[in-house]
Amino acid sequence: MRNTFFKCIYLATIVIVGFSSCQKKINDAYSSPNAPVRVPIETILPGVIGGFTAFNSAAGTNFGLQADDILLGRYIQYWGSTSSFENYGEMGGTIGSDNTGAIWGAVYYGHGQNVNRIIEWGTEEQKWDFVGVAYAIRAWGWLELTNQYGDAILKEAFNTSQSQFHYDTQPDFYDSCRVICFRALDYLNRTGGNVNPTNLAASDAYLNKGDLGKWKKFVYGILARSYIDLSSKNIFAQNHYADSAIKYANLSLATNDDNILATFSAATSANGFNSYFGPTRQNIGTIRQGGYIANLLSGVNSATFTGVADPRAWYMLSENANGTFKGVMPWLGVTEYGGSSPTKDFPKNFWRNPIANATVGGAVDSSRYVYTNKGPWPLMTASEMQFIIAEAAYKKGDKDMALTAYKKGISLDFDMLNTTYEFNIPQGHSITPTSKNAYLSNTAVVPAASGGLTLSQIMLQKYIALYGWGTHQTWTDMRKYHYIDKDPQTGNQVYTDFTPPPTAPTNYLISTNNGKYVYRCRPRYNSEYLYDIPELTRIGALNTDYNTYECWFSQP
Amino acid sequence: MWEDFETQQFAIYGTNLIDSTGKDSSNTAVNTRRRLLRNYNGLPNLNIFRELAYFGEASIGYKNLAFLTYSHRFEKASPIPIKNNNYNYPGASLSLIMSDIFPGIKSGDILNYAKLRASLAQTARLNDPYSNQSFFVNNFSSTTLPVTYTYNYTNANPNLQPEQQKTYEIGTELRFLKNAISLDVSYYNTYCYRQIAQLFRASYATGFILNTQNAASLRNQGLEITLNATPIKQNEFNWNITFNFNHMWSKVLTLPSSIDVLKDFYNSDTYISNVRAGLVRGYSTGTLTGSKYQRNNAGQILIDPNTGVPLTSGSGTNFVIADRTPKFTLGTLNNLSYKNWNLSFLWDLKVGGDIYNGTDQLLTNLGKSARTSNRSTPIVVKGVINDAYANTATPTVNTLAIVPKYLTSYYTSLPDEEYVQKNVNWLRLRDVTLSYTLAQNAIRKLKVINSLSFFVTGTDLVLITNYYGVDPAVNANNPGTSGVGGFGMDMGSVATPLGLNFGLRVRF
Repeated sequence: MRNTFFKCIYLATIVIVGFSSCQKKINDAYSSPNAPVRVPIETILPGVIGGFTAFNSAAGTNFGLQADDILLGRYIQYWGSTSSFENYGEMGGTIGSDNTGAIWGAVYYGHGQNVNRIIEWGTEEQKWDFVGVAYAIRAWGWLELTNQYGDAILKEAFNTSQSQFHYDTQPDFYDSCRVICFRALDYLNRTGGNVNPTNLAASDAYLNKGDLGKWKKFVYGILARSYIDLSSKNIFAQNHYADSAIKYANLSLATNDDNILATFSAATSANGFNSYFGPTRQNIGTIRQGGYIANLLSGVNSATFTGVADPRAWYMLSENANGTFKGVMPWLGVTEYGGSSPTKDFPKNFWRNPIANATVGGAVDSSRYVYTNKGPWPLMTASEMQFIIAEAAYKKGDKDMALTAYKKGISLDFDMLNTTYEFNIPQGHSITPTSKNAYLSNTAVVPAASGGLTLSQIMLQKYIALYGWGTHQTWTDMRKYHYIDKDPQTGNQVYTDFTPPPTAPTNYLISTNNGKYVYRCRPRYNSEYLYDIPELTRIGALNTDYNTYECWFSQP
Repeated sequence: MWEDFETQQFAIYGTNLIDSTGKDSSNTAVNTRRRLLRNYNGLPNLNIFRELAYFGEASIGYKNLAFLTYSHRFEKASPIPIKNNNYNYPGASLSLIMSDIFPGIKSGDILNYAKLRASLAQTARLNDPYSNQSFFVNNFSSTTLPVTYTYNYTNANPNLQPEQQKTYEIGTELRFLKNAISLDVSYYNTYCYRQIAQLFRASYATGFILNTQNAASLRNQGLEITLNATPIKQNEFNWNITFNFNHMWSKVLTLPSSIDVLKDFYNSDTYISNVRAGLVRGYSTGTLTGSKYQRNNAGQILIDPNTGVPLTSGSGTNFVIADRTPKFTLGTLNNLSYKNWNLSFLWDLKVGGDIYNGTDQLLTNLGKSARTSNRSTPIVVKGVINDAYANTATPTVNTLAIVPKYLTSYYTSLPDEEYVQKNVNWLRLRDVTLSYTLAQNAIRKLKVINSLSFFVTGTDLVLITNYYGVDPAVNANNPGTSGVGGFGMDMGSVATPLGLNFGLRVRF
């Protein structure tokens, strides 16, 4: 009896121990053994920084500015496709694809929860520097996102248990962006805890190299943008936003050493290590510089900088076989240059392959400016800040301040080309102090007195200084002035000579726009057009001309 | 029951092939190679599934008249979050031998046996391991660090539960005329709920791209009738016939809310060109979705006034264009025996159910389908012009002639619905077997052999169908695919081969 009792206990013990060890083995197998669910935030930041330009991970690529720039650049005529009747060249929007959805992908996914974890875990670990950087990236994201798409998801963003989301309006994004900027500054200013400059420098090696001062200036620059982007609104004057824009631009990047430059290792031919615009990745072989920029830099714009050959053309653009600078009308493509049998005016591609209609780089890499594998790709420059000051001061009537900033902006851009992009420039075409001075003292560029300064000059110098890398910002600027708005003081178009796709004699403005110009992008197709239909219906995003809906920032 | 499965995987990615004929990864440039996750450290990436299950069953019988069985199953499995990974479900069945409870019904020797049965059963199903976890994967941006990470696609759902399936079934078994006729009827109703929609897409605003939620439900019902009769039973000649009737219907009840009312939830494994096994709320589970014609309110096809070509919803649009579910199937098995000869054959009848002929679509695009043979003749597509009158009582009837030879877009832009054949029926002779068994006294001398028979079987000898493609028994996928599967989707499917088998059956 006793024996049986102990046998029972013994068996029961085996069963219970067996059961509980099985239970444990099952619970242990829940988490993937292959991949970590928590990693050091130092190892997350490099990928997030890659997401400014073109995200590149084992789970998704190319979210960021650059993929969208290739298409948006056609709206503002920075460049155009070699094909005629091309959708974006005709100011068409995206239908049924993820084109122009790269910023959407970057902000919600590429940066998305990665930025959230840097903030959350960085706070736990008291790594205030990383937290500040993460907030700066989020603030940048909200502004880029809303300027490109208008309404989008803000308040409900990053709620992991929702599968449909409410869209918030643009003013909310602007407010949020600014609030997050100030939060970023708080953390970037915070010392103590586990702030570690060495670790930040390693993670941030391809952007600001751990320089917190630059990160703060970047944040001030975002603030300055958030005010100058509203310069066409009535509240700009009412709320003295010009003063805010000037104040934050002055706190932002001051010298070319401050420039926020995304760089690439080009260590191997792997995509993540090379700029999306570089010859290795071959993404810009079928676009050519726009006729508008080529004319502007060649002195053939009829009203602004007329007759002045801009030395910067040799850095930013590609010459043709005649040694001149010509470009395409984005809706015409290369038809004016002989199409498949190129004339001598046919512009070389951005990597300057000697064969004019080539779609790849040349045998010897002769790429210039931001079109190289290593970049650098500016996210913001000191020159841009000066043009913000110039525009704001001009609007509030302080023409002296405007002229000073205008001159500084041009000078900074020349210097940046001279220092950062001094490669593959043909002999005799490098910028010299003489050529720079000649340009700056030409009254067709810089008026002798501040009274002669025009809004066109400011906006067109900004258009040039942001050429190549600043497509998103320039598109915002041009939408503010509705592409063809006139400057009331001169009666000229702000963007003089700028012609959007004509409607006659041949209609080159895409028919679904119903005669209107493009003012926003549709939200990313594979995120929203398949899975957020009720909300898209509410905001009108299913209408064929949704891409022509004007954003809040450019409405009076 | 204890299950512990582990799959190991090594994979490598590389580009810049050194030799165009080389097929393995050593042929890629060293500096382009990537190994993900644990492969990076030379270890395999693992997929582990563990499950523990135990169950108990109790049966009560009363005088061989009534039987009641109850069972309960307890499970614990690894793919479910720990707080929900212990779950259990019951099952019960009851059967009553009515002919013994009320022996009176047997009088007259018409009904010999009657049984009623009912059962309720529940089961649970699981997601794939790790399909519900947000973890970090390698990032490949420029860096000075040895390895960097960003999140993978998947959104973690800490509340995921096993999906549930509840089935009740009622049935009866009746035997008549000294068991010469037997009839078995059953009706089942399966309700699948809290179904795990695994890795479905939703807005990126979650911060992720793919989601796994208990977000779908559907109901499946069916009627199965088996009738067995022995019309002739003599000493030397016997004829037995069995009918097997099956009628099934289903309805998708709910889908993840990110999928709009008329949009489909699909599994990318069953996706040919633009047509896919998309599920839409309120429709059967056998639907196919694809592009269709644009029509006016009266249902007439709209024609482009500039070209004469019909307007379509366009590639990339997915509307319900077909339902593959048959109306019913009926199998008829005959068995005839005469002395030592035995002949059996099975007729298989399927009525209803649509087929998408992707083969025809492909051939049409290439100009090789018979439908394009009229390419040189002007044709006028039946429809109405898409103008201001399209939705009035007097729409403009299309009279624009097109010559497809000069306007190839007519044939290359036909919508997917054009390639769907509705209500495909078939009657096929699945198999015929003739066998001869040697008489016992003939083999007795061989001593070691108990029986010996010869047979010849022919499979798929006869097919009668209204399908315009090759053979309606099509499947664009393999049986291992998840979801409803690829039946009713024809993409280069070849006809079922005709088979002949000869054989000798020996029993020792």
